[in-house]
Amino acid sequence: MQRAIELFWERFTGYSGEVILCVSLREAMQRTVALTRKIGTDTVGLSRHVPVPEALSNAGLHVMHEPPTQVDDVPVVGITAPWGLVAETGSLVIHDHDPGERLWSLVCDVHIAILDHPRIFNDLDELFTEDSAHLSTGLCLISGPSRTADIEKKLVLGMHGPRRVIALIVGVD
Amino acid sequence: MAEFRRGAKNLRRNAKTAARRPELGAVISRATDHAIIRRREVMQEIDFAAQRRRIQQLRQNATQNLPGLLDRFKARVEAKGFHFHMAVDTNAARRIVIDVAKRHTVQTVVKSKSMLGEEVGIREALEQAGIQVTETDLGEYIVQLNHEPPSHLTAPAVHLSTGEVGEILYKQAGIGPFEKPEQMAVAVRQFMRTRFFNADMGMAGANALIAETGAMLMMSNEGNIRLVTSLPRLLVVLTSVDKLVERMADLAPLIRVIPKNATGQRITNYCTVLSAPRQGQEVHIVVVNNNRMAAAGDPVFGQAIRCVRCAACINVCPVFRTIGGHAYGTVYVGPMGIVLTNALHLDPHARMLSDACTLCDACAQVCPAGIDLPGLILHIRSSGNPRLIDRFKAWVVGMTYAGAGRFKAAFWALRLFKRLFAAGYRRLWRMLGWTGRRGVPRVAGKTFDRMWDDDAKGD
Repeated sequence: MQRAIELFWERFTGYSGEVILCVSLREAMQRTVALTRKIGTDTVGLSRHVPVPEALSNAGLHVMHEPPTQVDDVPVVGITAPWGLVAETGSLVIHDHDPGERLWSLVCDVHIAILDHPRIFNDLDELFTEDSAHLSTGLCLISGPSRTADIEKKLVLGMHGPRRVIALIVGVD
Repeated sequence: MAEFRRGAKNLRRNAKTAARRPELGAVISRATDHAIIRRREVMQEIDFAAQRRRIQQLRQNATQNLPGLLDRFKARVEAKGFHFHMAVDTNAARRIVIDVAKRHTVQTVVKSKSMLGEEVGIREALEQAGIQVTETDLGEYIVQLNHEPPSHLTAPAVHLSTGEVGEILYKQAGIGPFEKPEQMAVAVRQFMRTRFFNADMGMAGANALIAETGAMLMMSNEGNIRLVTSLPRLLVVLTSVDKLVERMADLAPLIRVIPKNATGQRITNYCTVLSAPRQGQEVHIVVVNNNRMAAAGDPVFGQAIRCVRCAACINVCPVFRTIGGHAYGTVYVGPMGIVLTNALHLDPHARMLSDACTLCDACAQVCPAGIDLPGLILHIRSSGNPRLIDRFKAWVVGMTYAGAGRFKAAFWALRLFKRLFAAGYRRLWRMLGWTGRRGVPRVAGKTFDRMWDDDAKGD
């Protein structure tokens, strides 16, 4: 597992994603609060899959659960709980059928992903031969911030999706 | 595009126009060189030959069983609540999409990049029906503003410099003026957000359709496909029957290889497997045939239907790198474009595209589906009725290379002709059409055999 996490780290950060390993869920939530404040906001969009959501509201953050329907309602930070990661490609595996997971990972400037004891797949073959409900309802692999190189191949991050993607991973030490 | 004419019959004329613009080749080469170098680097991480065998096999299995897979896919998606439509051709595809849009009184559409959309002209059809369509991929949006088609499968605006893009955004959309791609992208993102949230209908393509589960694979770097498929309450997926694969497990080699081959990326940033309609959303899947089923059963062109649209063959093609995509005059360009346009009968003069090939084999080396592109292009070139001048040229070359004696005699005659009629010699080459943009080849004073012998005697 150690090798898989190292490979995930190398590849996810290679695509400008950020990885923070946490010893506990408590630490992950504390870091989420600190990151949000550092970004300069106190409102976050929160997927219902994120564990202990009260940790954020107790810390004074304003939490939005319903995905936005207007462009002006989009907060700067969206928080999700991907259920797995793929080492080979440095990808988070999102439960895409859930509107909160999908939209909070997509519409905000910063996407914070909290992975609490995630399923770890060494490669894409392992993922796509998995007999899982997630495969039957839909998934999305996210490998770092949204990007484009459509103008003379010059890389620009944050084209339509988040400019920053930060993965806080719990329980993989 | 104004300087290039549409239609394969204009290839020669367009190629001459493109050749008069050396800056075009320079912009394209910079972009494609980048993809080629990155491809070489990331391919070292995998066994390309083994992955190619897997993709070739899975695509071959699929193309040989399209009707069966289509039935399975249809049954699965309908059971999940998707609306399934089969479109036999371009007109049917347009009619189905416009019917869906009109039934929902759609006024605005946000659309993701789709070569099939270009093939059936869906944007133009919707616009003619009075519906506003916004292309959401940055490159595709730029060419939409510039009133021209994409010039490359994965990089629609590859023919435009940064300065040209800045000018287009400013003049056509009032965005800017900006000089840097970062500024342009940020401004387009802000402008486009409102369109995403307010659109009545989303429209996307699919990279693969999985018969086993009735799921669809969609890949994008920008995130626009996820927005297009997530925000509007009505979604149309316009795709083609050749995108069918049998199993979920088939997605692994496709997701692994396509981005590496296309742009040298390890993975496309967002790979979405859409397996069921989203809450509160109505989804219509329109599967277009346009001669694909027939072509899949063709003993020669069947292999062309294996194409996964990675565009690696386009990046390495020396002809494309010189003349760009618009010169072909067709939707699909480069080596795969020549073959697909012929296989699917997309242009009445499709055979003429086979002239845009040096038979260098570079495309075959990078094709992840193992398609013999040069072989197919050669087949296309040899079919039909070539022009009289081309038949004459082929006859001359055939006669010259038929034997050592004829070869020596032909070049002896050529040397003599050159010595006696220097001006006529130049005219001869011009007449053959080989020296329009390059010098007349020099005929050596001695044959190679003679030089070899002389050299040996000297030793």
